[in-house]
Amino acid sequence: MSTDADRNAEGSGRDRGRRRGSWTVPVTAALIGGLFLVIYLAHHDAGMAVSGLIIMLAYAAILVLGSRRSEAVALLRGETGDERRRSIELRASALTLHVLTLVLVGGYIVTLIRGRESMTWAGLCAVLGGTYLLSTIVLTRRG
Amino acid sequence: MRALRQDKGLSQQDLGQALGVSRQTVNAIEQNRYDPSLPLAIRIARYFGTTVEGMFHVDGC
Repeated sequence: MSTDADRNAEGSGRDRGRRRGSWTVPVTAALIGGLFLVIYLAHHDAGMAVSGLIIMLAYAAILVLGSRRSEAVALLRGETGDERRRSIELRASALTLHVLTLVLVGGYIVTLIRGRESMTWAGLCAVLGGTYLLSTIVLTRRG
Repeated sequence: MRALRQDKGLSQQDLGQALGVSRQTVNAIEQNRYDPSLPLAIRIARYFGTTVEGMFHVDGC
């Protein structure tokens, strides 16, 4: 059985780890920049290749250098160290979902009205709706 | 909470470290911009040697 002190120490350690060890997002951003470079170079577009790499490297650098100064940047870096930050992240994700839903459903409807190929929009809407449906069912059962 | 923290001579950073939350979260609680969860409220109350209802007041209750 753990004591309150144990639990507090464990929580603090875990949170410190989350604050310190958030390299996933900056490294992923840099890797995506590398991917842009390779893909655009393969299509003989050196301008886009270099700009894509520079933009993603700059984003990664801002995340690493700015996370100590700005809480928003720290959150973008993935430093969700405590319950308030996790709450902010959840609300931002929910808002993003709502905007994406509007854009995808709106795009699908506009494409349908114009009589153009709409399977891409339909597929994206299906993924969105299916994911929301499944996650709601699973999370409801988990309590 | 600010008064209790200042009585102890702690900075927001110190209190945040003791509670396992960020300095900004301590500030948000002190500014009434964020209501802590029940576990965090209990942790804060225990840290200051008081009760949750002694530390936090909810309007309308």
